[in-house]
Amino acid sequence: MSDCYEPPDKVRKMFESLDDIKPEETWRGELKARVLDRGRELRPVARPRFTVARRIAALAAAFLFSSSGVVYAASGAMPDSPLYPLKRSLEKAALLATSGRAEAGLERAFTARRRAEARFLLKHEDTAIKRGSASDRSREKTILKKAQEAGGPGLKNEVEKLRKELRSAPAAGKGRNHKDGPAGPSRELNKGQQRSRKPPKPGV
Amino acid sequence: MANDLEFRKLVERARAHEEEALALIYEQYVDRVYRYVLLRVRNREVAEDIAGQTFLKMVERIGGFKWRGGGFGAWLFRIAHNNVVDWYRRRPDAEELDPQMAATEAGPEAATLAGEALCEALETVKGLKENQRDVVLLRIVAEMTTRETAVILEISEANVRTLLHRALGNIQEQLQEQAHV
Repeated sequence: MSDCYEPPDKVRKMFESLDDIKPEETWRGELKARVLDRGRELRPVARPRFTVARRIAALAAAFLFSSSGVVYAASGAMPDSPLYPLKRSLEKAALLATSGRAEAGLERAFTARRRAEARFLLKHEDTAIKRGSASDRSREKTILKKAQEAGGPGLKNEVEKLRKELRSAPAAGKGRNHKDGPAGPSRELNKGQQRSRKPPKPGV
Repeated sequence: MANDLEFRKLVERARAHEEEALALIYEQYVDRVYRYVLLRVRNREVAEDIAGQTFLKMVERIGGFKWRGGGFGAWLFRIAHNNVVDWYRRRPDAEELDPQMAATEAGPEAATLAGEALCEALETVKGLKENQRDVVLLRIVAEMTTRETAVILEISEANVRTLLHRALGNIQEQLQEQAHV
Protein backbone atom coordinates (compact mmCIF):
# COMPACT_ATOMS: atom_id res chain seq x y z
CA MET A 1 0.00 0.00 0.00
CA SER A 2 3.02 2.26 -0.38
CA ASP A 3 1.88 4.46 -3.26
CA CYS A 4 -1.39 5.63 -1.74
CA TYR A 5 -3.18 7.12 1.20
CA GLU A 6 -2.03 5.34 4.39
CA PRO A 7 -4.93 3.70 6.20
CA PRO A 8 -5.37 3.90 9.94
CA ASP A 9 -3.45 1.27 11.92
CA LYS A 10 -6.48 -0.77 12.83
CA VAL A 11 -7.53 -1.08 9.21
CA ARG A 12 -4.03 -2.00 8.15
CA LYS A 13 -3.75 -4.64 10.87
CA MET A 14 -7.07 -6.13 9.90
CA PHE A 15 -5.99 -6.63 6.35
CA GLU A 16 -2.48 -7.73 7.21
CA SER A 17 -3.85 -10.56 9.33
CA LEU A 18 -5.48 -11.87 6.17
CA ASP A 19 -2.03 -13.05 5.09
CA ASP A 20 -2.69 -16.05 7.29
CA ILE A 21 -5.56 -17.06 5.06
CA LYS A 22 -4.19 -19.66 2.68
CA PRO A 23 -5.63 -22.43 0.54
CA GLU A 24 -5.49 -26.07 1.60
CA GLU A 25 -2.19 -27.75 0.78
CA THR A 26 -3.93 -30.63 -0.99
CA TRP A 27 -5.83 -28.30 -3.28
CA ARG A 28 -2.67 -26.22 -3.82
CA GLY A 29 -0.65 -29.28 -4.86
CA GLU A 30 -3.35 -30.70 -7.11
CA LEU A 31 -3.85 -27.40 -8.91
CA LYS A 32 -0.10 -27.03 -9.40
CA ALA A 33 0.04 -30.46 -11.01
CA ARG A 34 -2.83 -29.57 -13.34
CA VAL A 35 -1.17 -26.29 -14.28
CA LEU A 36 2.13 -27.99 -15.08
CA ASP A 37 0.39 -30.77 -17.02
CA ARG A 38 -1.37 -28.17 -19.11
CA GLY A 39 1.93 -26.42 -19.69
CA ARG A 40 3.43 -29.68 -20.93
CA GLU A 41 0.55 -30.17 -23.35
CA LEU A 42 1.01 -26.70 -24.75
CA ARG A 43 4.79 -26.72 -24.92
CA PRO A 44 5.93 -26.51 -28.54
CA VAL A 45 7.54 -29.70 -29.83
CA ALA A 46 11.22 -29.17 -30.50
CA ARG A 47 11.90 -29.72 -34.17
CA PRO A 48 15.29 -30.74 -35.45
CA ARG A 49 16.95 -27.74 -36.99
CA PHE A 50 17.97 -29.62 -40.04
CA THR A 51 16.06 -32.49 -41.58
CA VAL A 52 17.70 -34.72 -44.13
CA ALA A 53 15.83 -32.99 -46.96
CA ARG A 54 16.98 -29.58 -45.74
CA ARG A 55 20.57 -30.77 -45.58
CA ILE A 56 20.43 -32.02 -49.15
CA ALA A 57 18.89 -28.77 -50.31
CA ALA A 58 21.52 -26.78 -48.41
CA LEU A 59 24.32 -28.82 -49.95
CA ALA A 60 22.84 -28.45 -53.43
CA ALA A 61 22.46 -24.70 -52.96
CA ALA A 62 26.00 -24.41 -51.62
CA PHE A 63 27.27 -26.39 -54.58
CA LEU A 64 25.43 -24.27 -57.10
CA PHE A 65 26.35 -20.93 -55.56
CA SER A 66 29.96 -21.84 -54.97
CA SER A 67 30.56 -23.50 -58.30
CA SER A 68 28.38 -21.47 -60.65
CA GLY A 69 31.42 -20.75 -62.79
CA VAL A 70 32.16 -24.45 -63.08
CA VAL A 71 28.53 -25.16 -63.92
CA TYR A 72 28.63 -22.53 -66.64
CA ALA A 73 31.84 -23.95 -68.09
CA ALA A 74 30.45 -27.48 -67.96
CA SER A 75 27.41 -26.52 -70.00
CA GLY A 76 29.51 -26.25 -73.16
CA ALA A 77 31.89 -29.14 -72.47
CA MET A 78 32.55 -31.64 -75.24
CA PRO A 79 32.98 -35.37 -74.66
CA ASP A 80 36.75 -35.14 -74.47
CA SER A 81 36.58 -32.49 -71.71
CA PRO A 82 37.05 -33.43 -68.02
CA LEU A 83 33.89 -31.38 -67.31
CA TYR A 84 31.79 -33.53 -69.65
CA PRO A 85 30.64 -35.98 -66.89
CA LEU A 86 29.47 -32.98 -64.84
CA LYS A 87 27.51 -31.70 -67.83
CA ARG A 88 25.76 -35.06 -68.19
CA SER A 89 24.99 -35.16 -64.44
CA LEU A 90 23.45 -31.69 -64.59
CA GLU A 91 21.33 -32.76 -67.57
CA LYS A 92 20.06 -35.79 -65.66
CA ALA A 93 19.28 -33.61 -62.62
CA ALA A 94 17.41 -31.15 -64.84
CA LEU A 95 15.32 -33.97 -66.33
CA LEU A 96 14.52 -35.30 -62.84
CA ALA A 97 13.38 -31.86 -61.73
CA THR A 98 10.96 -31.40 -64.62
CA SER A 99 7.98 -33.22 -66.00
CA GLY A 100 5.46 -33.01 -68.79
CA ARG A 101 6.11 -30.53 -71.56
CA ALA A 102 9.18 -29.09 -69.88
CA GLU A 103 10.74 -32.52 -69.65
CA ALA A 104 9.97 -33.24 -73.32
CA GLY A 105 11.53 -29.93 -74.31
CA LEU A 106 14.65 -30.69 -72.32
CA GLU A 107 14.95 -34.13 -73.87
CA ARG A 108 14.79 -32.61 -77.36
CA ALA A 109 17.43 -30.09 -76.41
CA PHE A 110 19.70 -32.77 -74.96
CA THR A 111 19.23 -34.97 -78.03
CA ALA A 112 20.36 -32.04 -80.17
CA ARG A 113 23.39 -31.74 -77.93
CA ARG A 114 24.20 -35.43 -78.40
CA ARG A 115 24.10 -34.97 -82.15
CA ALA A 116 26.44 -31.99 -81.91
CA GLU A 117 28.75 -33.99 -79.68
CA ALA A 118 28.56 -36.94 -82.06
CA ARG A 119 29.68 -34.68 -84.90
CA PHE A 120 32.50 -33.47 -82.71
CA LEU A 121 33.57 -37.02 -81.97
CA LEU A 122 33.42 -38.06 -85.58
CA LYS A 123 35.58 -35.12 -86.43
CA HIS A 124 38.06 -36.34 -83.84
CA GLU A 125 37.92 -39.80 -85.33
CA ASP A 126 38.54 -38.44 -88.75
CA THR A 127 41.46 -36.43 -87.47
CA ALA A 128 42.91 -39.52 -85.89
CA ILE A 129 42.57 -41.44 -89.13
CA LYS A 130 44.27 -38.64 -91.03
CA ARG A 131 47.26 -38.60 -88.74
CA GLY A 132 49.91 -40.90 -89.80
CA SER A 133 51.31 -42.28 -86.52
CA ALA A 134 49.81 -45.31 -84.92
CA SER A 135 50.34 -43.87 -81.46
CA ASP A 136 48.29 -40.79 -82.38
CA ARG A 137 45.50 -42.96 -83.67
CA SER A 138 45.68 -45.14 -80.60
CA ARG A 139 45.56 -42.12 -78.29
CA GLU A 140 42.63 -40.62 -80.16
CA LYS A 141 40.81 -43.92 -80.08
CA THR A 142 41.23 -44.06 -76.31
CA ILE A 143 39.92 -40.52 -75.95
CA LEU A 144 36.96 -41.27 -78.19
CA LYS A 145 36.18 -44.48 -76.37
CA LYS A 146 36.24 -42.74 -72.99
CA ALA A 147 34.15 -39.87 -74.37
CA GLN A 148 31.52 -42.22 -75.70
CA GLU A 149 31.43 -44.09 -72.41
CA ALA A 150 30.95 -40.78 -70.56
CA GLY A 151 28.17 -39.87 -72.94
CA GLY A 152 26.42 -43.11 -72.27
CA PRO A 153 24.19 -45.01 -74.68
CA GLY A 154 22.57 -41.74 -75.83
CA LEU A 155 25.79 -40.44 -77.29
CA LYS A 156 26.86 -43.79 -78.70
CA ASN A 157 23.54 -44.13 -80.49
CA GLU A 158 23.83 -40.65 -81.93
CA VAL A 159 27.32 -41.35 -83.17
CA GLU A 160 26.18 -44.53 -84.91
CA LYS A 161 23.14 -42.81 -86.34
CA LEU A 162 25.24 -39.98 -87.64
CA ARG A 163 27.75 -42.35 -89.19
CA LYS A 164 24.97 -44.13 -91.05
CA GLU A 165 23.51 -40.84 -92.19
CA LEU A 166 26.85 -39.65 -93.40
CA ARG A 167 27.57 -42.89 -95.22
CA SER A 168 24.23 -42.84 -96.95
CA ALA A 169 24.18 -39.10 -97.64
CA PRO A 170 26.81 -38.82 -100.42
CA ALA A 171 25.31 -41.77 -102.44
CA ALA A 172 21.76 -40.49 -102.32
CA GLY A 173 22.67 -36.83 -102.44
CA LYS A 174 20.77 -36.28 -99.21
CA GLY A 175 21.69 -35.13 -95.79
CA ARG A 176 24.52 -32.94 -96.87
CA ASN A 177 24.75 -30.06 -94.57
CA HIS A 178 26.48 -27.12 -96.11
CA LYS A 179 26.67 -25.58 -92.66
CA ASP A 180 29.34 -28.11 -91.89
CA GLY A 181 31.58 -26.20 -94.24
CA PRO A 182 34.68 -27.45 -95.96
CA ALA A 183 36.15 -28.65 -92.72
CA GLY A 184 32.93 -30.27 -91.62
CA PRO A 185 33.13 -33.82 -90.40
CA SER A 186 30.67 -35.11 -93.00
CA ARG A 187 32.84 -34.34 -96.01
CA GLU A 188 36.03 -35.26 -94.24
CA LEU A 189 34.51 -38.48 -92.96
CA ASN A 190 33.10 -39.33 -96.31
CA LYS A 191 36.47 -38.86 -97.82
CA GLY A 192 38.09 -40.95 -95.14
CA GLN A 193 35.59 -43.74 -95.41
CA GLN A 194 35.46 -43.72 -99.16
CA ARG A 195 39.21 -43.93 -99.36
CA SER A 196 39.11 -47.48 -98.25
CA ARG A 197 36.15 -48.49 -100.38
CA LYS A 198 35.83 -46.69 -103.65
CA PRO A 199 37.34 -43.77 -105.36
CA PRO A 200 35.80 -40.36 -104.60
CA LYS A 201 33.29 -39.02 -107.01
CA PRO A 202 34.48 -36.25 -109.14
CA GLY A 203 33.66 -32.84 -107.84
CA VAL A 204 32.98 -34.03 -104.30
CA MET B 1 15.37 -3.15 -10.87
CA ALA B 2 17.36 -6.39 -10.94
CA ASN B 3 14.33 -8.18 -9.53
CA ASP B 4 12.17 -6.72 -12.28
CA LEU B 5 14.56 -8.01 -14.91
CA GLU B 6 14.73 -11.41 -13.29
CA PHE B 7 10.97 -11.56 -13.15
CA ARG B 8 10.70 -10.55 -16.81
CA LYS B 9 13.04 -13.37 -17.74
CA LEU B 10 10.94 -15.74 -15.66
CA VAL B 11 7.78 -14.69 -17.45
CA GLU B 12 9.46 -15.09 -20.84
CA ARG B 13 10.42 -18.64 -19.90
CA ALA B 14 6.87 -19.28 -18.72
CA ARG B 15 5.60 -18.02 -22.06
CA ALA B 16 7.47 -20.93 -23.63
CA HIS B 17 5.65 -23.16 -21.10
CA GLU B 18 8.88 -24.05 -19.37
CA GLU B 19 7.87 -26.15 -16.38
CA GLU B 20 10.14 -24.62 -13.78
CA ALA B 21 9.11 -21.08 -14.72
CA LEU B 22 5.40 -21.94 -14.59
CA ALA B 23 5.89 -23.55 -11.19
CA LEU B 24 7.69 -20.49 -9.79
CA ILE B 25 5.03 -18.09 -11.05
CA TYR B 26 2.32 -20.32 -9.64
CA GLU B 27 3.95 -20.35 -6.20
CA GLN B 28 4.37 -16.59 -6.30
CA TYR B 29 0.73 -15.82 -7.01
CA VAL B 30 -1.46 -18.71 -5.86
CA ASP B 31 -2.04 -17.54 -2.27
CA ARG B 32 -2.84 -13.96 -3.28
CA VAL B 33 -5.18 -15.03 -6.07
CA TYR B 34 -6.97 -17.45 -3.78
CA ARG B 35 -7.31 -14.86 -1.00
CA TYR B 36 -8.59 -12.20 -3.39
CA VAL B 37 -11.14 -14.51 -4.96
CA LEU B 38 -12.24 -15.82 -1.55
CA LEU B 39 -12.99 -12.32 -0.32
CA ARG B 40 -14.85 -11.56 -3.53
CA VAL B 41 -17.07 -14.65 -3.63
CA ARG B 42 -17.21 -15.43 0.10
CA ASN B 43 -17.38 -19.20 -0.57
CA ARG B 44 -14.35 -21.47 -0.22
CA GLU B 45 -15.26 -24.11 -2.78
CA VAL B 46 -16.14 -21.48 -5.33
CA ALA B 47 -12.90 -19.65 -4.57
CA GLU B 48 -10.92 -22.84 -5.23
CA ASP B 49 -12.81 -23.39 -8.46
CA ILE B 50 -12.32 -19.84 -9.73
CA ALA B 51 -8.68 -19.67 -8.66
CA GLY B 52 -8.09 -22.96 -10.48
CA GLN B 53 -9.73 -21.61 -13.63
CA THR B 54 -7.57 -18.50 -13.35
CA PHE B 55 -4.29 -20.41 -13.34
CA LEU B 56 -5.31 -22.79 -16.12
CA LYS B 57 -6.30 -19.81 -18.25
CA MET B 58 -2.98 -18.24 -17.37
CA VAL B 59 -1.14 -21.24 -18.81
CA GLU B 60 -3.30 -21.29 -21.92
CA ARG B 61 -3.01 -17.56 -22.62
CA ILE B 62 0.49 -16.79 -21.43
CA GLY B 63 1.86 -17.34 -24.93
CA GLY B 64 -0.03 -14.22 -26.02
CA PHE B 65 0.92 -12.11 -23.00
CA LYS B 66 2.55 -8.77 -23.82
CA TRP B 67 4.35 -6.37 -21.52
CA ARG B 68 2.13 -3.35 -21.49
CA GLY B 69 0.07 -1.38 -19.00
CA GLY B 70 0.12 -3.00 -15.59
CA GLY B 71 2.47 -5.90 -16.26
CA PHE B 72 2.10 -9.59 -15.55
CA GLY B 73 0.44 -9.30 -12.11
CA ALA B 74 -2.28 -7.03 -13.46
CA TRP B 75 -2.81 -9.40 -16.38
CA LEU B 76 -3.23 -12.38 -14.07
CA PHE B 77 -5.55 -10.61 -11.65
CA ARG B 78 -7.60 -9.32 -14.54
CA ILE B 79 -8.26 -12.95 -15.46
CA ALA B 80 -9.24 -13.63 -11.82
CA HIS B 81 -11.43 -10.52 -11.70
CA ASN B 82 -13.22 -11.45 -14.93
CA ASN B 83 -13.77 -15.02 -13.70
CA VAL B 84 -15.39 -13.65 -10.54
CA VAL B 85 -17.59 -11.27 -12.55
CA ASP B 86 -18.67 -14.16 -14.81
CA TRP B 87 -19.45 -16.29 -11.78
CA TYR B 88 -21.64 -13.57 -10.27
CA ARG B 89 -23.52 -13.23 -13.52
CA ARG B 90 -24.28 -16.95 -13.48
CA ARG B 91 -24.88 -17.38 -9.69
CA PRO B 92 -25.95 -14.11 -8.05
CA ASP B 93 -27.46 -15.84 -4.98
CA ALA B 94 -24.31 -17.63 -3.87
CA GLU B 95 -24.11 -19.20 -0.41
CA GLU B 96 -22.31 -17.10 2.19
CA LEU B 97 -19.01 -18.28 3.62
CA ASP B 98 -18.75 -19.87 7.02
CA PRO B 99 -15.85 -17.89 8.48
CA GLN B 100 -14.80 -20.76 10.74
CA MET B 101 -14.18 -22.92 7.68
CA ALA B 102 -12.11 -20.31 5.91
CA ALA B 103 -8.90 -20.72 7.88
CA THR B 104 -6.74 -23.74 6.99
CA GLU B 105 -3.51 -23.36 8.87
CA ALA B 106 -2.43 -26.13 11.21
CA GLY B 107 -3.38 -25.52 14.80
CA PRO B 108 -6.76 -24.44 16.09
CA GLU B 109 -5.48 -21.17 17.51
CA ALA B 110 -4.15 -19.91 14.22
CA ALA B 111 -7.23 -21.16 12.44
CA THR B 112 -9.46 -19.27 14.78
CA LEU B 113 -7.45 -16.07 14.49
CA ALA B 114 -7.41 -16.28 10.72
CA GLY B 115 -11.09 -17.04 10.71
CA GLU B 116 -11.81 -14.04 12.89
CA ALA B 117 -9.74 -11.80 10.65
CA LEU B 118 -11.52 -13.12 7.62
CA CYS B 119 -14.88 -12.69 9.23
CA GLU B 120 -14.08 -9.13 10.19
CA ALA B 121 -12.72 -8.36 6.71
CA LEU B 122 -15.75 -9.86 5.04
CA GLU B 123 -18.10 -7.84 7.15
CA THR B 124 -16.10 -4.73 6.50
CA VAL B 125 -15.96 -4.97 2.71
CA LYS B 126 -19.55 -6.11 2.56
CA GLY B 127 -20.64 -2.64 3.59
CA LEU B 128 -18.64 -0.96 0.78
CA LYS B 129 -19.86 0.02 -2.64
CA GLU B 130 -18.86 -2.46 -5.35
CA ASN B 131 -16.20 -0.27 -6.97
CA GLN B 132 -14.69 0.63 -3.58
CA ARG B 133 -14.64 -3.02 -2.57
CA ASP B 134 -12.88 -3.99 -5.81
CA VAL B 135 -10.20 -1.35 -5.27
CA VAL B 136 -9.65 -2.31 -1.63
CA LEU B 137 -9.33 -6.01 -2.40
CA LEU B 138 -6.95 -5.46 -5.30
CA ARG B 139 -4.79 -2.85 -3.62
CA ILE B 140 -4.63 -4.43 -0.20
CA VAL B 141 -5.41 -8.14 -0.42
CA ALA B 142 -3.95 -8.79 -3.89
CA GLU B 143 -1.12 -6.30 -3.26
CA MET B 144 -1.51 -4.62 -6.63
CA THR B 145 -0.09 -1.15 -7.24
CA THR B 146 -2.35 1.79 -8.12
CA ARG B 147 -1.37 1.45 -11.77
CA GLU B 148 -2.01 -2.31 -11.83
CA THR B 149 -5.38 -1.82 -10.14
CA ALA B 150 -6.30 0.83 -12.71
CA VAL B 151 -5.43 -1.56 -15.55
CA ILE B 152 -7.43 -4.42 -14.05
CA LEU B 153 -10.52 -2.35 -13.40
CA GLU B 154 -10.09 -0.25 -16.54
CA ILE B 155 -10.29 3.03 -14.67
CA SER B 156 -7.82 5.86 -14.20
CA GLU B 157 -5.16 5.87 -11.51
CA ALA B 158 -6.70 9.00 -10.03
CA ASN B 159 -9.98 7.16 -9.77
CA VAL B 160 -8.26 4.27 -7.98
CA ARG B 161 -6.75 6.63 -5.44
CA THR B 162 -10.06 8.37 -4.83
CA LEU B 163 -11.97 5.12 -4.44
CA LEU B 164 -9.37 3.72 -2.05
CA HIS B 165 -9.39 6.86 0.05
CA ARG B 166 -13.15 6.76 0.37
CA ALA B 167 -13.21 3.00 1.01
CA LEU B 168 -10.66 3.18 3.80
CA GLY B 169 -12.54 6.11 5.28
CA ASN B 170 -15.75 4.05 5.32
CA ILE B 171 -13.95 1.07 6.85
CA GLN B 172 -12.51 3.29 9.54
CA GLU B 173 -15.96 4.57 10.39
CA GLN B 174 -17.36 1.02 10.53
CA LEU B 175 -14.61 -0.15 12.86
CA GLN B 176 -15.11 2.86 15.13
CA GLU B 177 -18.86 2.18 15.25
CA GLN B 178 -18.18 -1.47 16.12
CA ALA B 179 -15.77 -0.42 18.85
CA HIS B 180 -18.38 1.83 20.43
CA VAL B 181 -21.09 -0.85 20.30
